Formats: sequence, structure tokens, C-alpha cells
Amino acid sequence: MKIELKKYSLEILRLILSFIFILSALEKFKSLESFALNVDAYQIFPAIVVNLIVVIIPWLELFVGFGLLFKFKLRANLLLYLILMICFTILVVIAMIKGLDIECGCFGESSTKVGLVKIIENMMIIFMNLILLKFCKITY
Amino acid sequence: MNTTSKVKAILKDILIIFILALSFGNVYTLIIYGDFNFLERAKHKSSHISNENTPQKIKEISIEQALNLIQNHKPLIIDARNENEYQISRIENSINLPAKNFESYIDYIFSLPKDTLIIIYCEGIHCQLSHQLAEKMLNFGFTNLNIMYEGIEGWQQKNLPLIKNEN
Repeated sequence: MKIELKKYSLEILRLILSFIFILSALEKFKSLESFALNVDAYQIFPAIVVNLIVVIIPWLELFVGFGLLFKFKLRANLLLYLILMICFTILVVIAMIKGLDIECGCFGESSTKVGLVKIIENMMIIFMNLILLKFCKITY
Repeated sequence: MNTTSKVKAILKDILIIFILALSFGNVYTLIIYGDFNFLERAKHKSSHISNENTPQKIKEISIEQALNLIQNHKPLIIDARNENEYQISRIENSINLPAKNFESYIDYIFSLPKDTLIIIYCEGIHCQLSHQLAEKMLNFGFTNLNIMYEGIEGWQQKNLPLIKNEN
């Protein structure tokens, strides 16, 4: 009973994480140019890197999202998810340190502002990711 | 399988996913946008294009707004796609000025009054040709440029009349 409960909880976590990334990717695809402006607003990357990020990140999110959804290369996808989330969180922290009042760009045009709430959200996602990484060997 | 091999396998998978994302991203960008200058394009747009509430030179309008202009103000309707696409289907009373062939009809552009009410369209929402043409015309001093951003695809989806040449 306890094992079953644990298994279902992990399944739900996996689905939540996959939907977050798929939704995030689809929102970015609605306007990649807006996403470029969002990334540029962090004032960290040169234009060429911003364009590269715009080309790669939505597809990376989409692949990782679907990878999690269909349990394909689960460990690799979870690790990639973790790396991306850590990078996104570092960017938000840098923006906060710089005192920038910008949108995070996480969900394209439906993004929220960078700030403590965003960091807490990201930490929760990272935490869920770590749980899945820890138990994915047992469950899958 | 020992730990080193497992780590290697995971890293290999990560690399494959990354390469796949990069490849799909490149192909998608080239097909839909034609180039990788997202940032430059976005900045250019935001400096030239504004909404209805601000003073503007190029305005993005919906199909409903375009219809309203067509019915009440008889604008010059320009199809910015290439000649073949224009021949296959076009909006009635539109003329074809391909954005990529601007030099070939520059005399005609010069002959137009600068305050002519102009509606430009191309294929659809992702098509950049109407923006490219509008920006070129803006540089020639035109002051009343409107981009019907949903393009001919949006026009067709709303079942509005098109002139079609099946051949």
C-alpha cells in the first residue's frame, strides 16, 4: 500500500514537471521575438547568445517535457531539467541583484516578474525534480 | 553496468537531446523566420510598430480592422509575397509588390503620395515579408502603413473572398 502510494505520487510529480516544460515551450513558440526581448532584458548575454538561446531553449524544454511524459530516457531528461532549472534560477537571482524590474520570460508573454516568488517557484520545481531523480531508479 | 558507464550513458543521452533540440531549432527558425536575428527584429519592430493609442508610422491591424478600412477608405492593398503565390490566390483589388524585389518597382513607390493609406499582407502570422516591405516603405517616408498581420491565411480562415487561379 505504502509503495503504491509512493509510486502514484512520483507519477503525479513526473506529469506536473512534464506539463510545466511543455506549456513553457509552447508559450515561448507563440512569440520567439518576445522571448528574445525577455532574455535580452537580463542584460547578461550578447545578441548572438540571445538568439542562440531563443533557438534552443523552447525545443529543449519541449523534448525534455515529452521525454518525461513518455518516460523516455528518464534520468537524462530529469538531469537536463535540473540543469536548466538551476540556470534559470541563477538568472533570476542575478536580475534581482541587479535590481531589474523585468519579466522572467519563463512562459513567453504570460510570464511573471522576477523576484522572490519566482525563486521559490523554481526551488519547488527543483525539489520535485530531485525527488524524482532519487527515486526514479526504484520506480522505473 | 558500473557507475562510470551509467554516467557516460546519461551524459551521452543529454548530448543527443541537446543536439536534437539544436537541430530542430535551427530548421524551424530557418523555415519559419528565414534568419536567426530574433533580437534585432524584435527591437526593430518595437521601435517602429506601436499600438493604436500612440503616434505611429506602421500599425499592425486585424482582419476586421482591415475590412473596415477597405470598406470605408479605399486603401491601397499590397501583397508582399512573391509573384507565384500572388497568382495562386490574392485578396481582391490587391497589387503584388514582393518584399524581396523592392528595387524592381521603386519608381512606382516614388509615384505614390506619401500619405496613401496602405494595407500590406503576406502569408500568415509568422510571415515577415509584410514587415520587411513596410519598413522599406517607411524609409521612403510613407506615413500611413498598416500590416494585416494575420495575412492571407487568416483572411481565408474567415471565409472572406479570394481571387484564385487554379492553374
